[in-house]
Amino acid sequence: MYQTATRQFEGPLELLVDLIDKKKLSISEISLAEIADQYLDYLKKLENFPTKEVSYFLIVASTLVLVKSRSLMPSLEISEEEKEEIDDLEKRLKIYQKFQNISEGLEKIFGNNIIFSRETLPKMPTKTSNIVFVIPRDLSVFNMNKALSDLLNIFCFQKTILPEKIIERTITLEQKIEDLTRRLQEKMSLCFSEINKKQKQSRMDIIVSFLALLELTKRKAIRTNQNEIFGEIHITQT
Amino acid sequence: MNISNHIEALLFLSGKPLSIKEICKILDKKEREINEAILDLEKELNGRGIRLLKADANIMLGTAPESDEYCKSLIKEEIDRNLGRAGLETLAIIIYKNEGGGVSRNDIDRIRGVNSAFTLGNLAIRGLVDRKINPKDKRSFVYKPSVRLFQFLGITKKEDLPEFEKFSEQIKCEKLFTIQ
Repeated sequence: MYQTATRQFEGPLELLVDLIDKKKLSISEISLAEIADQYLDYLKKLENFPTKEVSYFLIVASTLVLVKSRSLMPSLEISEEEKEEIDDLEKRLKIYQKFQNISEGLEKIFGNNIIFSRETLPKMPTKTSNIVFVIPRDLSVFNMNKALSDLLNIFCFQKTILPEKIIERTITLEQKIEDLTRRLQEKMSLCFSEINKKQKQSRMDIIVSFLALLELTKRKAIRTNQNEIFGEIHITQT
Repeated sequence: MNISNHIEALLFLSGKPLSIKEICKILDKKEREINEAILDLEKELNGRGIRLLKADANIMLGTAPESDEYCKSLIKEEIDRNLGRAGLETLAIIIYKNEGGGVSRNDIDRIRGVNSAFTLGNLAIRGLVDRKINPKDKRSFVYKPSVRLFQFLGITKKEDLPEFEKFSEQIKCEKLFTIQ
């Protein structure tokens, strides 16, 4: 079978180029068709699928399936877009392979013949040198003051931007349902507008009341009736 | 003394890379003159123990790469040579995709077929790439090789990279088109 299942591939292009290289093929639609099965095999074998890269792998998988289908059924008609998709994958693989070659070349020279700058010399004091404090030109009480207050502002900034909010009374659906049910037990029938007439009913109150109405209707606990559009809603117990 | 000598003096004093613009300002000369002087200086320093390093618009004086061994023993610095496949590929793209403005993360992702954010972050921390705001899209960044990268590669200019011309040409010819 094929043993590269143990190696982790960061991306689909890396995997494809590896599969093609192993077969000593060059990148073409034909070689892609040949390795399509192995690619899909690899995906199936993955235990911990790198979830970030899933979409990349799957997009490429779909293109490969298309390529494979074409190779099995040469008369298969595919759209312009699909043709472009296959060409694009081929191109991208070729480019990626080039950069892989380049990176191998870079690896050979990286860190081998380093050019050092004076900046990289260690700035440690030696036995013969002295450390001195050089007063910066713009040092003044005013500047230090300003620097400190700027710094404090950064810290206090976090606090001042917290907006104050009045904690609103929460209205629960359950409460409204209870409320409505209780009311109906006192009076055999009700109008929706009546429920919300009392006190200062906010918009939220009305909405939740309406939801309670719907819920109770769903439970078949009440019956509702509305004679005209936007007219009064009559509520009765069932 | 001519301009190239003054540039030499400035670079020595600085110890760090200087931009060509800075040098133009200090010496009060036009960029063309400075660029010519830089080429002269480069020629002068050929074969010397000190070389001129050019990374894009920044130049610096540094040790000759051939002195690597002796310099390393003077520094006694532990240099981490390990970049990993992801790092190397990303660097390859940034160096060879010879765009003046820099390469965007999108381009890098497209070529590698993976999300390169983490790798780019690592390279940036190690000072091997410079990150700038993309002039074409202020919300994203573009990446360029840094002077430090050249130092580690032991090259004084891009063209010194192995097979630079050949690779650059090949890459320019392969145009990536986007699919929807």
